[in-house]
Amino acid sequence: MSREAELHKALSDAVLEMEEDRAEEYSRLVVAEGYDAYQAIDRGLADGMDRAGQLFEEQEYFVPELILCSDAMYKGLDVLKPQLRTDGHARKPKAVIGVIEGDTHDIGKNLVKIMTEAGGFELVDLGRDVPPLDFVERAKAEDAELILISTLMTTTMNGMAEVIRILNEQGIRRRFKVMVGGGPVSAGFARKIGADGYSRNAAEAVRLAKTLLGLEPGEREAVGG
Amino acid sequence: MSMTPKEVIDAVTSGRAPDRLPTTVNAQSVVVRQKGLTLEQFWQLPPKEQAELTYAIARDHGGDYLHAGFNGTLAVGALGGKVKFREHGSPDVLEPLITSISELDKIDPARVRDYYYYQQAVETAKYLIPLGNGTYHVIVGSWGIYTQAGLLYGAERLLRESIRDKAAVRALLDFTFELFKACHEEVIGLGATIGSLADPSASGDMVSKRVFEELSLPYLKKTFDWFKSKGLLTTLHICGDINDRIDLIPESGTDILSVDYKVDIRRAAEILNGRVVIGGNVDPVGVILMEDPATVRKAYQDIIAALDGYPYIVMAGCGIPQSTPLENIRIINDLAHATVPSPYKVAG
Repeated sequence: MSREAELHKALSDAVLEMEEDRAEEYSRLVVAEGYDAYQAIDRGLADGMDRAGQLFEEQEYFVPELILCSDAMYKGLDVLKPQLRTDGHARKPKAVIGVIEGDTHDIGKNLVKIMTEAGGFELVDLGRDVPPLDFVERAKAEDAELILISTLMTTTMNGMAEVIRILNEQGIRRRFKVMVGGGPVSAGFARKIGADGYSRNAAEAVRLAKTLLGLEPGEREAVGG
Repeated sequence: MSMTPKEVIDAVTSGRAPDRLPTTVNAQSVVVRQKGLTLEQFWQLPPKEQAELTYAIARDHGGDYLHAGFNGTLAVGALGGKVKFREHGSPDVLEPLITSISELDKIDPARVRDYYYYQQAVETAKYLIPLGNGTYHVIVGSWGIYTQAGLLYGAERLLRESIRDKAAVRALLDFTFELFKACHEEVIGLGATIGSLADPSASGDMVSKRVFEELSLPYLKKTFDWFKSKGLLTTLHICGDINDRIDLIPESGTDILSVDYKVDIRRAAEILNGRVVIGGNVDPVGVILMEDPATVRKAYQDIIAALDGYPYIVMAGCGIPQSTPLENIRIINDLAHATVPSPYKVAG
């Protein structure tokens, strides 16, 4: 294994093992030893987050562990992002993401954001308690391809249907893929409201987003790249 | 003479089949909305009017409980946190009360009693409990201690510390338990008969079984012990997938477990084996909100058939949206009133 590959592996392990200090330390070594920051993010930090997502799907990791993994990833990103060259990488697919109006629980939304960023998407975070019309207007303004809507509360799920109704009303439904998720949301609910997809968790959301946009796994762009 | 709503609940929780299925599906939030009131406006009604409306909704639309007491989310507001009321649905916390657990030293949980909505809740209970006249159970309670702690401290921070600093989390949970008692003791003293906890942050959709066992379960038990010391029945709801922790539920001391639609209810019944009554298991949005009455009824009939003589209470799988059609609530309660359960095959 080359030295650069060793550092990538160490970064990936640091994220997986929720070790912020190690993620920062190895990111500094990448910079100090002159290796490419983009590759370190893609094959190190994002890879670690991807592995954490797999453990989440296998119910080895849960939400707290994913949050701590993402803390480690961001610690490394703080070091590596300033080193990125701005040219040479393809434009990333863009998504707007938010928690629907009436709900301020944003852990699930934040995890999906982290995982999809790690999976190569550019995310515009609308925050929480977002009115349905704002999802549509920001998606148009940002020229996004995906709209990601989250909620943790059964009492606010109707707002997701309202986003799709507004898209239909404005005649722009086919411009966007709409994904819904969150604790009480189900595939049946997603079908009923006419969403393009539903994912059970943040790890699955990345794969679904790629499938909906027709992206091959090999086309992944690294977070921050 | 048919059993009263209270007698129906008493029967199922003591292992005797009642003369109809118990139901706790309540139209309160739906009717309040249809009357053009937000929940904020409802809670601001004069206590006598609020109590009479609560009673009338249970009497006219069904549901074997009368709901009394103080909302745990508002407890954050009572201590100085930022709470937002909404046009539709429940209020929620905009910003946690504290950013460091050490800040708790400066907060007196008893301050909650000075809060307008707390006082409204107590005054309303004074009218509501006599209206029930012993024919209804009066239910109080709120968020489980682990979830309530997330409202005080921020859910994300709580989850981080649940891995990194369990001792600090336990200090937070101890404070939260004191707050819980301050919120509910007075209404219990007025005659409430069931203590309820909902602990969504303890779900398998959120935390591991280990975190549940170490941080949520001990405080469920502590709270239910406290309820029982005051003579109350107990009921627990945890949202989402709790299949991996059903075996631990009896340790909490709950009499009733309301499960989400993600739970395999037959398997849960096998594991619980009569130690805990089961309720719920229907999708409140995908089915109760969005399907026609016949489909809603069929969903419950399927569950009743699947349980095959296990003590069951008709409940929603989680919170019912305020836009739920009243006819769907009616069909659920009609089904409960028309169904005579067979003698139970396990002790309740």
